[in-house]
Amino acid sequence: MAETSKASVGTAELGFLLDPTVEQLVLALLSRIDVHFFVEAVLVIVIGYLLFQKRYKPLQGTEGLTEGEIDELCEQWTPDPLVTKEAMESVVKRSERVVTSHQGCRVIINGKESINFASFDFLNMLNEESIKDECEQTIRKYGVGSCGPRGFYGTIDVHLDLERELADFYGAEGGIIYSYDAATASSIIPAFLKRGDLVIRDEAISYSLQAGIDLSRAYVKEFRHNDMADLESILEIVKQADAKNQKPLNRRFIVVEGLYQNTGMICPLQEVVELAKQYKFRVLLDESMALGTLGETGKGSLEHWGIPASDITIRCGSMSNSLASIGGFAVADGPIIAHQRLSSTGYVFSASLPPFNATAAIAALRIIRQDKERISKLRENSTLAHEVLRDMTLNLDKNACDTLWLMGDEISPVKHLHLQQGKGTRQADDETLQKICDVVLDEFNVSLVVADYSPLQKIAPRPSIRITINSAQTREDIEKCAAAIGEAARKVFARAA
Amino acid sequence: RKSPKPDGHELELETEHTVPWIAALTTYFSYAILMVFGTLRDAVFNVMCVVDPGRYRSPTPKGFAKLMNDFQDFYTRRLYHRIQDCFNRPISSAPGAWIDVIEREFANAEMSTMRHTGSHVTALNLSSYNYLGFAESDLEMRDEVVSSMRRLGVGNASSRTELGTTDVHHELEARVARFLGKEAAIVFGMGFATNSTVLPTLVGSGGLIISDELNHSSIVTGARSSNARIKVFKHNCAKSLEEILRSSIAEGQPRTKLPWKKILVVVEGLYSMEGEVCDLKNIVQVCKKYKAYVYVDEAHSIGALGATGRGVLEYCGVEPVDVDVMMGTFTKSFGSVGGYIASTKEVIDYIRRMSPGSIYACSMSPGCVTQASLALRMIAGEDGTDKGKKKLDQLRRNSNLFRAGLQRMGCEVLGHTDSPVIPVMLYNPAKIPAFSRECLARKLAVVVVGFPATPLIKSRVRFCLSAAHTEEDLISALKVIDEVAERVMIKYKWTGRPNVAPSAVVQRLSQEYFVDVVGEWDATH
Repeated sequence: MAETSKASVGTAELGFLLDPTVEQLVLALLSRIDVHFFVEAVLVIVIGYLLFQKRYKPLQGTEGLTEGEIDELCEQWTPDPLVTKEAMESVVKRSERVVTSHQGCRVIINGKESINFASFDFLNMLNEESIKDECEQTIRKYGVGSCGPRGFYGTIDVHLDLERELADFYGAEGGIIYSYDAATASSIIPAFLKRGDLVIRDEAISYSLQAGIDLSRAYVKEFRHNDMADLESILEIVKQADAKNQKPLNRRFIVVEGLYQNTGMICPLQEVVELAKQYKFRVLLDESMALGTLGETGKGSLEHWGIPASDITIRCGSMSNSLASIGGFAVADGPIIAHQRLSSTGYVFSASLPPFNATAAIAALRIIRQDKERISKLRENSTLAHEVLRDMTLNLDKNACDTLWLMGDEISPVKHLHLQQGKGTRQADDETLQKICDVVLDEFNVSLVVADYSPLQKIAPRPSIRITINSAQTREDIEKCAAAIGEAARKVFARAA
Repeated sequence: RKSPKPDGHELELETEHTVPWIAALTTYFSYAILMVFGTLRDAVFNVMCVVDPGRYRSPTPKGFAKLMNDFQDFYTRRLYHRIQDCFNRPISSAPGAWIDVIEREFANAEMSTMRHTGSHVTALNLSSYNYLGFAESDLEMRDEVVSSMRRLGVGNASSRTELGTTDVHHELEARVARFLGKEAAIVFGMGFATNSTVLPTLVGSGGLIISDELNHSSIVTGARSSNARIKVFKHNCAKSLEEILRSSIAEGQPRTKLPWKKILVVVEGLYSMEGEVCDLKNIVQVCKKYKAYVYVDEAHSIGALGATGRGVLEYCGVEPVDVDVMMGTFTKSFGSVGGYIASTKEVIDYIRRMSPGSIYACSMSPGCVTQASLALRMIAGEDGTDKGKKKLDQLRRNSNLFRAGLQRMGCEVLGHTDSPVIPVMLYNPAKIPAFSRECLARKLAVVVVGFPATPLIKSRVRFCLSAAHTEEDLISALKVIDEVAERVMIKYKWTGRPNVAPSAVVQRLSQEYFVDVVGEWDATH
């Protein structure tokens, strides 16, 4: 400061600084005022204003409310009951059937024996005495429960055996088992997919897959059931969007089922795999229904379509259908399985599968490998059922108030009978179909179910009677079933009219 | 803080658990070293991928995003794999008091896989949730389990609402409802799925779920599957819950400001990673005041707490009517698998027709249903014996004896008296495998837990007691742990002489028993 002063003002003039008077000071100051001073002063004022102005803030939370007011609000708040009347009325009613004996293709319901066309035991494993014998041995050795998750001494040697067997059966690098079918896909998907990832799924996939996708918080897009053109158009849109905005790669999956439980249709997997390769998507395939039912030797969709295992990233499924045990599984490459063992919630945070259920699954897998007859018999039965059921639906009176139509692939052991017209509401259609099932059970001793869907499922298929075929059913059983449905439908439709 | 309880037990609610600064410092330092070396090794690997692509190749094909999250992958390869022998240890016996642990060794230099050596170690099991010992006791039960399995099948190949409901399912449901003092109950084949498929049916959009911050993953999954809003309150803190309830009700739903349709407060009876009993009395009081519904997950507390095994409600002196939804599992105290929900008939009927666990999932295996049913019959004393009562008493004695022993030797023990789960702090990552391996070498199978199941620096070892343990088992285990704790230096609370057991512990044990048993242990020191 002193230096600049020296430069501009003479030293003598500054003499007054040693003993200044107010006047001198003010004069000296005024003499130095120029445009700069004004600009700086304005800036200082603006900054000060910006710093000290009272910021506008919208009232957040309970700010601005006094304790008394909060008390009052709490007092006034009345919650809905845990289950509201409307919610209770919105669910589809069902009468519960109590089974007192389960023997594969025969079942005793409410004390009466009937032919079973309702459970997913396609290969008649529930009736297999050798499996029960092995299970008994396991129960005697290991007890019932495993008393802990896999990580904490809940891994029992039979679990490892089953995982090896599954991997071997499917020709995969590794296998992992889950203790419940409902927690399998819904744990696997969130283990790999996160927010920002992309899933393209068939609209007919089962709830567990849907729940998994929802939990993962990934973007999701549905394509029309088994409609490859629709799938391709969606993939094309994604590709175009990619070209437009250059973003880092996200994980992408196409999620399909080998054989759809909800429709009985087989997925055109070959095309799905081709599209996935072309558009760089991974494929997650649910084999719950396809295991033991598709392919020459029951090895599922890949065998059916002749696709190499490397084309599918993850295969998962349920062990409670063809294997007639409990639990779920996944097979994939080693690192993918290892990742699930640390990150899949249903695996890490749940007690492991009871050892005897694992034994049952191992035994069932062995039977599938050894007894090729069962699979060919199942195929034969499925085709026959398709034929007789289709004929039955064609022979229904076209003038009655409604008719049935058959859905499902010819060789699929799962078939659905839908109402042609329906009454418009889910509840009413469900009731009509249930009436048919009741008549079939009461008068013809054939047990069938109306496929049940939870209201939590966002996209649920139309109500239908689901017919599941078992390898042990005879030609007479199947013909009887078709005839019974025809007869019952006639009665119910006549009554309704 | 102490919560007043006229009829129940008094919980000593700890103020926040603090980590000793030296432990915190060394723990962070250890992780830093692990990270640095891991990163270095990764860098070398990446160079090798370029130099020698035939031998080292990147696992992700071109044009695809990595399937695994980078950090998670790093953590697994560079931290977890080095100590993976302490987890997922396979056994070749029933998970009773003594188990046969299959020996393993690392199969490759990267330590990424393990193989069995072909032999096994018989070790004392301080890790299975076999609270009442049903995993290996009462072998006559197995006859009935087998006959039920033979009559009704190994599985059902059908869901509950289709063709998977059998007479034994109904019997178990009636028994659960009776035992808990509720109108009705429903059972599911898996405990995890019970929470994850029932919570979304109870609360939907416009609803609010307020969950304890340490709630189990199944509750988190269930809450996330519902369309409800989720808020979290401070662990086991009724005051924090009250604050959140007050502000939530006053605020209403975000943006629309509409009042909430309903609020569900979800807590656990016994927190299995902390060994802490829920402060249910106060939480229920708060919920009642603010008209929130209460959902109690009794996975670990049912059959383990309370004089007659009726769980945390009995333990804390809360009436069943005051808890709207009671959930529990059959995996732990009952030696089976599966879960239940007990509530009013209306709610249960609704869950039956709504929950994916009831509509889609294969129904609970009949053999498991029978096991749960028989165990429950014994606990409730409906079999006409006092075996169940004796088991409960034994469990409590064992738990308190063990807890007192650990406290006396200066370990940092978490949780409450009477809890059969007893966590002890380890802190440093290196102490996780050290403790576990040293114990197994001395024929003690223990569970060690680290990140991500616990906060990074709060690694711990967790002991689960069982009625099947004998006093001799536990005394010898305490001796072993004393030795190991000394070696791995986890006696953070050591004061130079045996710490005096809390008087509450002494009171609750029969006096002579405690003096006898712990006296003997003391005498050897």
